[in-house]
This record gives sequence, structure tokens and C-alpha cells, in this order.
Amino acid sequence: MSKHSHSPSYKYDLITFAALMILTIITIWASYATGGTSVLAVSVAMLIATIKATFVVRNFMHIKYDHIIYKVFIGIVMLLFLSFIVLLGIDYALR
Amino acid sequence: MDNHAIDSHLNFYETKRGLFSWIFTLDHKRIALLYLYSISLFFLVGVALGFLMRLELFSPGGQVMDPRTYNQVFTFHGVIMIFLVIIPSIPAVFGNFFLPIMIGTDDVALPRLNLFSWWLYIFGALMALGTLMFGNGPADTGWTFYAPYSVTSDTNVSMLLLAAFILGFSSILTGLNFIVTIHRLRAPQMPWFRMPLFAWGLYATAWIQLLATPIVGITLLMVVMERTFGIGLFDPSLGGDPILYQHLFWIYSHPVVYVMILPAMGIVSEVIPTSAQRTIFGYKAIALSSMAIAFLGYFVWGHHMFTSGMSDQARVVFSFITFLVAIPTAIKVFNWIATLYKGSIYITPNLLWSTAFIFNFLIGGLTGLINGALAADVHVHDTTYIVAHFHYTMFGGTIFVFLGALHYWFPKIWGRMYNQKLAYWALGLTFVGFNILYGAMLTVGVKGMPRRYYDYLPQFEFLNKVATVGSWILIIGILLMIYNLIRSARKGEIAPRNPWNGVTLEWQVPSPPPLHNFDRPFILSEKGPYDFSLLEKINEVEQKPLDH
Amino acid sequence: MGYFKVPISGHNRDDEGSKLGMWLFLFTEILLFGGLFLVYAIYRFQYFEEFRIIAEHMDITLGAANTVILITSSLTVALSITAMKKDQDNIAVLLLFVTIALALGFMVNKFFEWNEHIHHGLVMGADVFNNLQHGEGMFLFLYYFMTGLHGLHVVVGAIILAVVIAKIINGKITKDNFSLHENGGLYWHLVDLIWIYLFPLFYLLH
Repeated sequence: MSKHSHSPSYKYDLITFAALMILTIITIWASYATGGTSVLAVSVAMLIATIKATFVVRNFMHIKYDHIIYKVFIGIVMLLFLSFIVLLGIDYALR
Repeated sequence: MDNHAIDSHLNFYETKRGLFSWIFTLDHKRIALLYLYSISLFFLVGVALGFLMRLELFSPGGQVMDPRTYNQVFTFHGVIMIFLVIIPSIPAVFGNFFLPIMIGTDDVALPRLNLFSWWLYIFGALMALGTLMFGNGPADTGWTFYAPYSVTSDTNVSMLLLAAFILGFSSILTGLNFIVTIHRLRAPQMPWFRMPLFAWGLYATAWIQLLATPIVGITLLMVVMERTFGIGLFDPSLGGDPILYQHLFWIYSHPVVYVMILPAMGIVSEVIPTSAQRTIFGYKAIALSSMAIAFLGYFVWGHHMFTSGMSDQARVVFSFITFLVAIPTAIKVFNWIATLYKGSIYITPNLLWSTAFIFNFLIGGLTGLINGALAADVHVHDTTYIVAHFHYTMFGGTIFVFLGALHYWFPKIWGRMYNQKLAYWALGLTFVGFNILYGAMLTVGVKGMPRRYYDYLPQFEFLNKVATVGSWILIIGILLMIYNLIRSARKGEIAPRNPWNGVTLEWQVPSPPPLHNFDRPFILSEKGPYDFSLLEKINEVEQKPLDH
Repeated sequence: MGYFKVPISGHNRDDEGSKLGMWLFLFTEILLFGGLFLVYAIYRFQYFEEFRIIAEHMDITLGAANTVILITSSLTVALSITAMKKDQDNIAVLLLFVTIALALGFMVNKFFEWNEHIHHGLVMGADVFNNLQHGEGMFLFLYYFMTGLHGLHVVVGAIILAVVIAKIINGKITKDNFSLHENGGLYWHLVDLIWIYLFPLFYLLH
């Protein structure tokens, strides 16, 4: 399965790169626009970072062309990490 | 490793000889034995430390050591038994040896990584032992390394933490290897739900090793940093948060108890159908309950921290999720018993080890429910009740199965039969000694004896004496078993291919297996791995002499 | 005579298996950093104000520069794999050299940044540091630990890519057998991935 079904193209990589650069600019701008630090600023920053991460994983790391099981695994890992945060939050926010 | 010209009438011991052919081997069977011998060695060290602790507690007041030494002994006992024995035990020994054979292939997917993880294990073990020589004595914090004491203790905690970090990576790489092996190397006629249940147990285990271990790894590094820089991460006297340490520690260390028990449950699911000569009851339920336990195990860590000062809401949530774990566990136990029901049972030491496991694990599991219940746990927390509960699940559970598996697969690994009579005696002594020792500890814990204490009040003396005597019986049983196995491995009767009339693939290869495991095409049923209607066909192979 | 050759052998070349192994390893790495992200989350939550104050010492320009460097290096690695698939070995090697140069640039940048902080006493053990609020100290500690661990991964990633270059030149990695190249690339993207989160958490939120 090492032969991908798509034909390799430089253009595709360059478009992904452009998207990442634009998102970097947006996140810097957003950090000023949201006033730096607040729950809102943190959420926006994390949201944009996650969009960027999705681009890297999907396009650069070729998850788009991989077997579906990789997406399932990534989903499970993210779910685990988020549930750690939630469970820790239940303790820390309500202590 | 591409020595495909080797004949199958040579077993894997004979194909190559010499020390280097062992310590640099890529053969999964040899790596398994490397693990077995190193783990056995550390197990005996751990047992010796446990023996000393029991001796110390024989009577109130100091007996054989001073309090500081006692702290170091129970810490070292814990670290050795957890990180060097139980965590690697079943996956690294029996998983390595039998997973490739059971799924019909000739090695794990990443053989070099497999060897590397054994070397990491040895390196970590040497580092742990190094704390005996370097610095201010071995750690005295308990194996949990709770902050703030692990930060302030003047003993050599840092080196032990780094050792645990390295051992963690050894465990991760073994798990990683098994996941890839199970995904990529199953025989073509073996879809997921025709895998033996041991493979399912290992698969669930591997995911825990992979995803939980790094968290404790980084946490232990944080403690090292805290000890080095004193920045107040976990130490409350510097403004740190010791409960955060407990959270991070148990995020790993609770799931890891399933690393210890799931493969053991997998082995029981192998031994019981073979002994009852019938297919397992509820195959899918057992397979999926392993995955369910692995998954739920991630969300219950807080039940170790009910008295730590965590928020009430968190305590209730963790207590609730903890009860959920009992469901898949009970599914397994009911299915095992249902498999035995009306089976044509052959009583062998293998089966008795497994039933001893079920007995011990019932006690371990039910006492666990009491710990999981928030209100009850507050009272038994930090008593020897907890210690006994833990040993009922880990020793009475995992180690009993490990020893049982040693008997079950003994003919396959060493190609000889063991002395059954001695095996029964060893099992009997171990079982009785075990239950006296930890039964007494359970009881004295409920009466209020705190754990990890060097001294105790006079009213606890009788039960402590009972426990210590139990430990002697237990050790005699273990030594007798080791004597029996070593002697049988050298002088026992030559074992046939299929001494217990099993039907999974490891019984279709010679004992011991050749380097590439299979000497002829294997027989798989469409009805799953435990189809005993194939038994005759499988055993025909034995009578036909090999045509060489 | 002989033996039975199993239909699916562990000794066969299995690119998909290696890739799966690499991904699993990346999961482990993600959770290794995950532990630190958890600590960050808890302390950020507890010391919101102090985290904000100390974060003002962070140089957004340097951080943004390093972000651009890492994203560009991610691009060059991705391009080199594309080149490899197109059987353009020379371009692939060139792009990998660019990647390693960018990695070097990242580390030099990092060195100056740390040097600046240490010069101002914003480091464990210095007097200035000891007089900081607890939350501020925590921020700096996490900053050094997380970016330090990340920097270690940059170095390891660069070494892996250097090995890939050597193997391409030796002809051991080819159009039909570039599993190591692909996996090295995956590792490098992980380095980028972690930085994508580190950048806003340490540089932007103040």
C-alpha cells in the first residue's frame, strides 16, 4: 500500500504551505485583536493551531491518502487527551 | 535474519549457539527467553525483599533493619516488582514467544526494535540497581514517588526516576511492536475475530502501553527537574501542587494495572478452553471486553486520590466510572466459568493455576469495588487492606497466571514435560501461603493497620505473625516450583507436539519450535480459534513422522 | 525437508507496517508532550494573570520567525518526498539539505533567544528568577522544558534526515523503496506540529 493512489505534485504541497503561512499571520493578528490573554484569546489561538495541525496531518503527513484506521487512531488519541483535560478540569475548576 | 535455508528439524535452540547468538538475536523466541531469565532473576530479588519486610513485621518494634532501610526495601520491592517484573512479564515473555506463532507468522513485525527494547530493559534495570551504589542510598519514597517527599528526600531518587523512564520506553516499544504485528502479520485466514484471545489481550495491553506510559515518563522527568532546580512544580513548600503530581502519575499508573492484568486474562482464556476441550463461551464478549477495559481504564485514575483533597465532584465522577470497569471484568469471569460448565475437563496444573487465578482475582476484584466506592475507600485508604487488594490482583492475578502460563507452555518452550506431582504440590503451597499472607493483611488492614509502617500497635501482632508465616509457605511453594521447572527443563520426558490437546496454532508446531516456527501448513477453523472438532486432524500430524 | 514458509512473514519488507509503527511512535511522542501540555493547562488556569505578565518578555518576532522556519522546513520535507516519488533524487537531496539548514537556523535562533533570557536572569537559579511570582516562574520553567524538549526533537529529526540523505546518495532509498524517507518526514512534521501549539501558548498569549 506504499503506492499512493494520487499522483505526487509539488503544487499541492505549496498550497498547503501557503495556507499554513496565512493561518500563522491570522493567529498573530488574532492574538492582538482578542487582547492577548483571556479565555477567548486562548480558545481562538488553540482553534487556529488545531486548524493548522489538521493541515499538516492531512496534507503533509498524507493522512488523506492513508487507510481509514489512521484517522480512527488519531481520533482516539485526541479523544484521550481531551478527556484528560476534562477530567482534570472537573477537579481543578470545582475544588 | 534471512537464513531461510535452515531445516525445520533443528529447533530454535540448535540453529545457532553461543552467547552473542542470544544477546544479539532477532528471533522473537530467544528474545522472549532473554526476558524470561532476566525477569525471573528480578522476581527472586523482589521476593527476597518482600521476605525481609515480612520478617521485620513479625513482631512490633525493630527486628532486622532500621526504619530508613525498611522504607528503602519496600520502595525497591515495589519498583522491581512493578517496573522490572509485572509490566514486562507476560507481554514481553509469552507475548514475544507466542504471539507470532499464534497468529501464524514467523516473527514480530519489527524484530530489531524488539531486541532494542530488551536492551533498554537491561539498561534501565542496571540503572535501577545502580542506585544501590551511587548517591545517598536507594530511594525511600515508595514506588509511587509521591511529591513532595520524592522532591525532598536525600536518597538517590533521580536516578531511579530516570531508570523508570527508560523502562517505560522499553515497555512502549514492545507494545508498539505488537500492535504493528497484529495489524500486519495475521495469517490470511485469520480475520480479527478469529484471533486467539491471548492476542486480543495483548492488543488491548499494547494500546495502554503506547498511550499511557509517555505521560508518566514526562512526569517522572518533571520530578527530576524539580529536584534539580527546585522551582516549585509539585513541592507545596515552594508553592507547587502535589495533587497535580498524583493526577499525572495515576493517569498512567492506573491504566498500567490493566497492562498487567489484561494479558493474564488472555492467557486464562487460552488455558480454559484447552482444559475443558470445548470452544470458549462468548468469544466476542471476551475479546471486546479487553478493549473496553483498556478504554475505560484511562478515565478512572482519580480513585487513587479520594483522600488527596480533590474536588468532591471529581471524586464522585471517578468513583462512578470505576464501577463501570467491573462490568467487562465480570463478563470475562462469567464466560470462563460458563466455558468450564459441562466441559470435558482435564485437570492439569495449568487449569488449577487458572482457577486459582479466578479465585484470587475474585477477591482482588471485589475488594477493589470497596476501594472504588468513595465512602468506603476513605476508611480503608492507606491501610494494609490496599496493599493486600493490590497483591490479590497483581500477585494472585498476574503472577499466578504468569506461573500458570509457564506450566501451560512449558512443553512448547523447552520441549520437555514437567513433573506434575511436584507441580501440584508447588501450586498448593503457593496458593495456601499466598492466601494466608494476604488474607491476614486484608483483615489487619480493615482493623486499621496503616501500610508502609515500620512498627505497629500490639493488637495487630497476631495477624502480622500469621501473614509472615504465610509468606514462608508462599516462598517454599515458589522455590519448589522453580526447582521442578528447572529440573524438568533438563531431565523431563520429551514433550509431544500437543501435550494438552489444544487447537491454537502453537500446538501445531514442533516442541520446541524451529527457527521459523512452522514446519508445515497450519490448520485454522472458520469457526474461530477454539474449534475442537479439528483436534483429531491436528493430532494426526504428530503420528505422521516428518519426511526427512 | 525444509520448513513451511508462512504466507505473511515478519521478515518481508513491509512499508505499511513501518509507517504504522512510525505513527504509533508519534502518538507516544504526542502524549509525552501531552503531559507537559496538561501541566501548562492547569498552571495557566491557576495563574492566569502571572502567565500574562511574564509572557510579555517573550519576543513575538523571534517566535514568529521560528514558526515560519519550521513551516518552511515542513514544506521542504514534503516536497522532497514528492520529488522522491517522481524519481528526482537530486532535488530530493537538495530539499533535505535545505531542511537541515532550516533546522540549524531554528536552533541558532533558539540559542539567541535563550541567551537573551538567561542574560536577563530569567532562568532557574538566577536572583531575578527567584524574585518572580510563582506563576511567572512556572511559565518560564515550562517554557524551558517544553521548548528544550522540542529543540531536542529538532536535533534528532535533523539527524534522521541526514541519514536519509546519506541513504539516498548511496542508492539505498529509491523511488520504489523510500519508506525511511517517508517516516523521517513524518517525524519531522511532528516537530512542526508540536511547535504549532507551542508558538501561541508561549509567545502570543499576553
